[in-house]
Amino acid sequence: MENNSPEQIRIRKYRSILRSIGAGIIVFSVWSVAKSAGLTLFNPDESFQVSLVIFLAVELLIRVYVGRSAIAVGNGHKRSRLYIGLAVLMLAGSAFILTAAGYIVLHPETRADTSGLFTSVFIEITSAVLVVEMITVSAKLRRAERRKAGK
Amino acid sequence: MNIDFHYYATYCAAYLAGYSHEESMAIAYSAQFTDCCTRTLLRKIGAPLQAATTQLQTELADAETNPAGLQDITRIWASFHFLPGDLYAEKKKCSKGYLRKYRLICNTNGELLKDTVELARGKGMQAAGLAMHVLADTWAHRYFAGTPSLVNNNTDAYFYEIVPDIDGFTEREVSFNHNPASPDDPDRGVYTNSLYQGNENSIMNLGHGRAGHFPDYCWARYRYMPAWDGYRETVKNNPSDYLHAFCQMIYALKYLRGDHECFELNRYDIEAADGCLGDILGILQKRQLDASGDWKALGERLSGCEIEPFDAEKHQKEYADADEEAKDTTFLGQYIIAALGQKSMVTNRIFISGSLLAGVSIDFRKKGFGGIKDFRRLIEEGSRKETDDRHKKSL
Repeated sequence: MENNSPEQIRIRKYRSILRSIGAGIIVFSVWSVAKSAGLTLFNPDESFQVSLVIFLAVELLIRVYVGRSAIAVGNGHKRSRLYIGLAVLMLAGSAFILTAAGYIVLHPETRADTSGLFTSVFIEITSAVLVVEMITVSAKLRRAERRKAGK
Repeated sequence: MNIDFHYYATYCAAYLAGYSHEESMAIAYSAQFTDCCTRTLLRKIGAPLQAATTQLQTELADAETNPAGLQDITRIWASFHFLPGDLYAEKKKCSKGYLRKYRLICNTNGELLKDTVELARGKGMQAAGLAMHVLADTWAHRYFAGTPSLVNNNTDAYFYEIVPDIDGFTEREVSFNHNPASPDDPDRGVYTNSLYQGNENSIMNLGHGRAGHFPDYCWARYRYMPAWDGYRETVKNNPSDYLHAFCQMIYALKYLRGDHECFELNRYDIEAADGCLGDILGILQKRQLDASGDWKALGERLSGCEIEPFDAEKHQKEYADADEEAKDTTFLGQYIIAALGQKSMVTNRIFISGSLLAGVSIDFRKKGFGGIKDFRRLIEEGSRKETDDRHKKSL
């Protein structure tokens, strides 16, 4: 009655990882909110605030969608590859932020205070690692499921 | 397991093993009392607190999870409800700390079960009943460990109930909630379990808490991934396991009566249950939260005597009112001695296997008495027995 073939065990493992990562991605959206809230509070420019809130809403939606999709796939449900595409987009965003942070570190004259920068970089890297892990595990799961189906 | 199996089914097994109605009642009472003998109760009647065989939820909420607290919890739950299946089990690629916990996973037909049943021989109905509780629980609680352990006892979303229907069986996802006030609902597949806690030693990760009360139902069939088994799934078939437990109890009780010279593992007395096998299977497969009524009817039909409902208070006054010297000769006094003996034996075996998870065990013959003073009663009882035996021989 038990199905414990190596392929099946791998599938269960990948699904379990995806469930955890999905939850992690959603939790990390709290960081996005905190980051954007901080920027909004300390910048009096109204147009900047509005555009930031719109950007925040879009980012939040993307993160929640990607996280929920990962959990759904982890639970054995089917999802289109859109969430992978959006995850790549998130990764590009992280890459942009990290590049900007790197530029600031290399050119300290561009910003007076860099004390909070390391926290920001650290969290951004962690978030990026999660997304990379999600993309690779999703691909592995897809391959394993194909092999199991005999395609 | 619940009162239906520990009390009424144990009565049936004892009666089928050849005990009288009164003896079967005493065995069944002692088996069920193992789920009632808490420190709160022992304190009330002035009994040694180390004889506790279970813990109330309020006691668990109060329990500390420092090393000494964990040892106390493990002594209780591993000795009476989650008897380790193999204290020398091996697992590749794991730390020593993990391996020690892994070895506490409960399973059937382990060497410790043999020790448990052999320890109860010649020690009266209370010891027999206690041993039957431990034996029966190895079937219901197998694959869970009697120590708080997230890495061994956790369950996740991969938990499916296998429900019988007209065409055979269908599977449905089990839905767990954490509200202790909400009753389990087998019709909807909704059960209460303990809250997820990421802390390895959290009380929430004790035994089958993460699977709730579900493994204790005799009709439950389920597919899940034990946390310790590397993403391998396990199918648990309780009707079959509970039938094994019942038939093994008959065999063990026959051994305790002296019908067999030695107790062998993996032996089940199916012949003794032959006349009522259909009834037993019917009870075990009926989806109900409490099968006490059905087991009671079967027991009364077998013996022709009335089985009185279980009353935890029944023998407490006798013990509380007895003189200090006479306490150990009362019904509960004998039960307490049996409980201390079982706890001492299991703690010793775990300690000898190289683990301190249940505490330190001191060999009395080599080093004299040391440690928790409640266990001194075992020595007194042992020397009293030796004196009695010598007296009998001289006569």
